[in-house]
Amino acid sequence: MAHLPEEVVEALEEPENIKMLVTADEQKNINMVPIGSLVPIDDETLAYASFFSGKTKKNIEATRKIAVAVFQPPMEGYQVKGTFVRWETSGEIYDKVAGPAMEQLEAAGLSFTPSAVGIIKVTEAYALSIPLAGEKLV
Amino acid sequence: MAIMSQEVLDTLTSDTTMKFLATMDTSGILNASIVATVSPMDPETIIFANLKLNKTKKNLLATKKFTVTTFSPSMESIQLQCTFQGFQNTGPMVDQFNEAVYSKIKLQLSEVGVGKVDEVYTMGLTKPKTKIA
Repeated sequence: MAHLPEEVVEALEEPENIKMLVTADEQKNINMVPIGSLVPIDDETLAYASFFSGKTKKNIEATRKIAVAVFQPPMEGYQVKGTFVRWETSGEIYDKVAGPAMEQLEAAGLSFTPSAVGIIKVTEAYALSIPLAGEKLV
Repeated sequence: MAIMSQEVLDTLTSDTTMKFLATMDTSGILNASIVATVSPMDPETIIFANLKLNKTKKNLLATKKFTVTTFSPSMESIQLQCTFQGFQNTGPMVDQFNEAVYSKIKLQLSEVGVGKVDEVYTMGLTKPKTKIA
């Protein structure tokens, strides 16, 4: 496993930053969706709230491989790669991730409860912003 | 191939839309990039500048498949499933695109990637992922 640098952890913690979660199915069809609930639990673990049993959930269970891109205005960006570990449906991590995610939705007038929180172990991280784009951080 | 609607074209050309491009290598390792230059060339085709797209370029040449997902200030997203057509580094389209990119971000592109759009989906807080083309 890899330990994320502090600047990447901070970028992932910021709720206003844009985060995309990339998965693929076994036929190598790529799915990339915005995932506002994704946060770091510590410097080697990410978690996100899963609200629907859609393509992302199916892909992550099938292949276990993910990539995350995070954009931090005005010009910073990072890519984190990882491996899906498990779902959590209650407990400390579930509450830490699901609570803020539900609050974000409530602010938009929506009421959904995550069916689970996905736990991801970080394997690599890269810079995405020019001039460092592609440079491996961990 | 899919035909992008005017709404999708407008989203792709908006300066306030963030655009991400994802690829995969032949062993299934995913790669995500921020590619702000993704633009429509016509309703079936998108283009983007190669500005240090090292791994993305390798993956595109190897697998030909990529996905673009946008994020708008309205928190709506569009996903384009695309087939890579190739890179161009000369010609009027490249010159015109280079000029447009340079005027915005003051960087010279090395080449222009071209992709045909196969499928288009919309996503948002209030609507699940839905195929629209």
